[in-house]
Amino acid sequence: MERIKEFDEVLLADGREGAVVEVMGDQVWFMVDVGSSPADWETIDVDRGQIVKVIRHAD
Amino acid sequence: MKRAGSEYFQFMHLDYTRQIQLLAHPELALPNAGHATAAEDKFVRYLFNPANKDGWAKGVVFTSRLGYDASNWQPFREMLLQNATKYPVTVHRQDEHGTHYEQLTVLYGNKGKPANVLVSWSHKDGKTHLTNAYLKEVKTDGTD
Repeated sequence: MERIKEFDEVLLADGREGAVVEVMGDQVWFMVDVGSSPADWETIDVDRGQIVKVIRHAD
Repeated sequence: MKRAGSEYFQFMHLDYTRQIQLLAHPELALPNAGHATAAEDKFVRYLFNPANKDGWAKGVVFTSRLGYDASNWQPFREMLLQNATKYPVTVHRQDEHGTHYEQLTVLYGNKGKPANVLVSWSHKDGKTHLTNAYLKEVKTDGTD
């Protein structure tokens, strides 16, 4: 399974896209920034199974 | 003197209310706040990196509102770290990877405009580090 890194842009199972801002443990769970503006930005916790794929790898 | 009812006054009131809450409830302080750290990557590779769509969107708002960008992210980091000691936190999650907190702060930046900034922290093994920061609209229902 593809390893997720900090700042990777990812597609979530619910269709949202976001950026990984923290990787917890050995790919155990991730903090992901979602939303499009200060009105709805939030950081959510997701486990590996909720990440469908990496859209863009961090530099 | 800022007039009551102005945006600036409302932010000052919000700021005062939050800081008073921490003084009244010191148990709401961020653990190890005085020695918290914030990695350079959070600013250089995320918030102020045009190659990262999500980070850049948040960085552009910080630039517009507070005047911080890729050329002067260091004082921005310093302000976030200084504010870590001033505002109460709420526990977002607690598990074997540490305790994860959210902290609503008010930053004034260098453009004379205050901003409501949500800062996330993780604490484990006596160390506290910043995990995220973004500007947040102030809720009008009084919950902020």
